[in-house]
This record gives sequence, structure tokens and C-alpha cells, in this order.
Amino acid sequence: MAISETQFLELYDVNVAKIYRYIYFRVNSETTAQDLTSEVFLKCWQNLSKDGGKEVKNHRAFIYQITRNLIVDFYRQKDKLPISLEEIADSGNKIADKLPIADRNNDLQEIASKTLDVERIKKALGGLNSDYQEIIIWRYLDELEIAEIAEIMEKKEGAVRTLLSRALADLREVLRQ
Amino acid sequence: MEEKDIKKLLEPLKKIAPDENWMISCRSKLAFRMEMERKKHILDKDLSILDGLFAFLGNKSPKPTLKWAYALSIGFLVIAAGGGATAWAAKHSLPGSALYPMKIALEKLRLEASFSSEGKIKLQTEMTNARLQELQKVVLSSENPEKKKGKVEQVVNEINQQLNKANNQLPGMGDAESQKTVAAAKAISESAVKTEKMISQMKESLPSELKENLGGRLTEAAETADRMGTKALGIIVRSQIQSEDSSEISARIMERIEVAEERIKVIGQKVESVSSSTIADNSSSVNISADKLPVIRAVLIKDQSEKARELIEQAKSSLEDNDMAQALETLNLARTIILGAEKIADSDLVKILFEEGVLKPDSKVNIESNEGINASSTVPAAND
Repeated sequence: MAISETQFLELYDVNVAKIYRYIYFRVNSETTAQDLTSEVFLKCWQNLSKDGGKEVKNHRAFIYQITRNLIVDFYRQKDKLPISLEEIADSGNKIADKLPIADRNNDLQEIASKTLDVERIKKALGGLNSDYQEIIIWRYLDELEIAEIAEIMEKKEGAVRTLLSRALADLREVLRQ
Repeated sequence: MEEKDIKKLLEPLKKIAPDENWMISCRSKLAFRMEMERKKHILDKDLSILDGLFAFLGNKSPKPTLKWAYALSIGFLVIAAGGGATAWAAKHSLPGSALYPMKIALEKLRLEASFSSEGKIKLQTEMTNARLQELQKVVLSSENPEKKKGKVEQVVNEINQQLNKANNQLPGMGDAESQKTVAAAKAISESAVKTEKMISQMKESLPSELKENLGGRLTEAAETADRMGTKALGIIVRSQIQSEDSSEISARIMERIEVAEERIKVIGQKVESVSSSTIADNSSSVNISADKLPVIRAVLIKDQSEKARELIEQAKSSLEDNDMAQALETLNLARTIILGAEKIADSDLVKILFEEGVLKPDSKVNIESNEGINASSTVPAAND
């Protein structure tokens, strides 16, 4: 049965921030993350609202699947296009600028220390392969269950646990360097 | 490095979030696209309607029956193009304007799209401030009372709805320990005091012909603001009951005491010109003549005002003894009595006396005025 508009907008409200953050970590650009996030929800709506469309039991996992696919498409397209001025500007943005203003009101030393930590972990995360990045984002930032991650990746739960363990090991290695 | 260390390192990244304005705008556009797709599905069913629309664009007159479809499509196109001019006009519209409902709808959409409680409270405060400014503009405008009445009603309705919604969102006393709850309660308490003061001022600024109709509605809004502020203050008092520093709570309670005193003063000014009198109850009969009603009203109001003043002094005394909870409870009692006095001042007194069971049809009361003159007549039935 197709989802109603109200139900779908509730799904949007609950998931938009996490989807945006996931995309942001993968593409490292605020503008692109915004564009892709909008596209994710529109595409999800087009699929979920169709009568006789695919039966979806876990809407959240479905949204993440669509997101993942769109990120892949983005990189495929990106490889074909020259780098834009927007991307050059965005790549200079420090992740600390994205932190809430309250965090920026602490003293300078603390800000500098926090910024370095955040940049360090972000760089380390960015250095992992895409599967490892995604599984760490989903498990530790978005707090998805193993079963949900398995559904998104279309893998078995055992395989997901193994992947997670390897991702953590890789991340530890990168952080040690 | 343990898993828990990595989790701790990742923790700050959770704070990365999209811009709130972008989220709202994205949601609006999504909702619009969803609506467009639904309409397109309907329009797609009849190609002749589309032919008629294109015929218009080619300078041919549309068939009268297709005008609604044309208007609908152009409306969607305008909104799809960003609708900047429309949205701007709506933002600056006042009660009575055709775009005012759109302004309210856009604000509500923005509120729904905000999912942090701090964001919601900030927006609710902004919305209430906007309504108060609109109320001020309408009340102080030089329009004739007839036109003003509809506009004031419209904005007072919105104020009541917004205050009730904010009031219902305040958590119960059981959640008073949460820091977020206390912070929210502080913001709401400040906003409530400001709202109550402004509404009371606007009520006094209404022309006399509107006071009778709208005074009660504004009193109701002031009462809702007062209730909301008191509830919020109760949460603050409960959460800090163990705290040494009670000066902030004391200041907030004092602020509310001052508002209550101001309300009593305003009521007092209304009955200043009426000479005092006493009501004597002769057995079971009660006579009232129409010209004695103001006297009865004045007596009842003065009596209630005195009681409220006594309670306010008790509340001040509790504050001096640092008993915040008692001060707030006493203030609540005073507030209830003041509200009763305001209702008598604003409403049809005979109707109130009937509702309270003080008067029955055909009942009579003897009144002694200062000159010792008895006046008697039969009380008209409530429907007269």
C-alpha cells in the first residue's frame, strides 16, 4: 500500500539530518550534500507513492539505499565533469565551521584543540574505502542496527559484523599514523 | 585503541547538521513537488484541458469552464518559480489581508519543520511577538471600529491558538530535572510575561465600542499567557528547589507579582467613578434595577481586588522568607481571583449572576445606595 504524504513528510523530518550528514561525509561539500539530500527524498517519494510499487517494510533502510545509489551516481557523473568553482570553495570549508555556534563560544585554545581532533578523525574517516566509511557512519553516527545495515548493503548480518570489525581496524591504523 | 575510544572520537561529528532554514525550504519544496505530482496525475487524465491552456497562451480566449484550471496551473507555476514576490507580500501582510492566512500557514510550516525543542520554542516566541506587533498595529490604527473588529478577532484567535499550543508543549512537572526543560521553561516564562503585559495594554487601548465584544477575548489570551508563564515558572521552581541560588527565581516571581498588581490597578480604574454601596439581603427576595447594576459590579470587583491584594502581600512575604513554592502557589490563587474580577468588569453582569446561581428569574434584591434609597424591580429573565 502506498505511503501517504503526511507519513512521508514525517519520515523526512526524522531522517533528513542523518541523510544529509551521511552524504556530507561522502562528498565533502555542503552544496552538493543539500542537492543530493533533496533528490534522495524526492526519489523515495516517487517510489513509495506509486500504487503497485515495490513493497517496503523498512522505510529508513530504503531511504539509505536510495542515498547510497545516488552517491555512486554522483561520483560516476563527477568523473566525467571538470571541477567546479563551488567545489573549490567548499573544499576549503573546515568541518569545525559546521559545528553549532555554542561550541564556537569556548575559549580559543579549546576551540583549536577540538578543531584539530575533529579534523583528524574526519581525515581518518575519509581515508577509508567507501564501504568502511559508510558502515562506520551508519553504526556509530547514525546508530543504525546491524540488521538495518545488512538490509541497506544487501548482505547477511554476519558479513556486516565482519565488515564493521575490519573497518574499525582500518580506522585504528589510520589514526595511529 | 578500543571501540569505545573510537566512538568517543567520533562523537563530535554527530553535531554536524544541515542549516535549519535549508531544511525548512527543502521540506516546503518537497511538499510542493508532491502536490504537483498529484495534480499532474489529475490533469494528465484530460488532454483537452491542457489544449485550452495552451490556446490561451496563444492569445485565444479560454473557455469559461477552463478558467479554474488555468488559474490553478499559473498559481503552481508562480510558486514553482520560487514565489518570491508572493512570499514576501505574505510575510508583511496584516490581519484582514488576503495573504494573512498564507503568512500564518508559512510560519506553522516553519515551526513543524524545526525538530529541535530549542528551535521550536524560539520560533514560537517569534510568532507570538509577530502577533503582538500585528495586534498593536491594528488596535492603534485609525480605521473605523467595524473594520478593526474583524482584524482584531483574527489576530486574537491566532494568539490564543499559539499560546495554547505552546502551553500544551510544556512538559509536566515530573520532567523538571532535565536541563533542556528548564531552559525551555525560562524562555517561555519570559515570553509569557511580555505577552500578558502587551495584551493588557492593547485591551485598554481598544475603543469603547470594541471593548465589550473583544475585551473578553483579550482577557482570555492574557489568561492563557499567564497560565503558561506560571506553569513554566513552576517547572523552574521545582527544578531548582535544592539550589542555593534562588535570586533568579525570586526575580521572576516578583515580575509576575508586578503584572498581577498592574491588572488589579487597571480593574480598579474602571470602577473608580462608581459610588460604593452595600447589598442587603431581605429574606429570599432580591430586587435589582438596571441603573444599580454598575454599583453591584463595582462592589463585587472591589471585594475581589481586595482579596487579591491580600494574597499578593502574602506572596511577597513568602518570597522574603525564600519560600518560592509557597509564593508561587499564593500568587496563583491571587491570579484566579483577578481573572474573576476582570470577567465581571468585562462581561454582562446579569448573565454572570444567573450563571453563578446568585439570581433566579423573578428574584428580587433590596439595595441601599449611599442616599438610603431602595430600588426594586423584577430581574428580567436571562434571555431578555
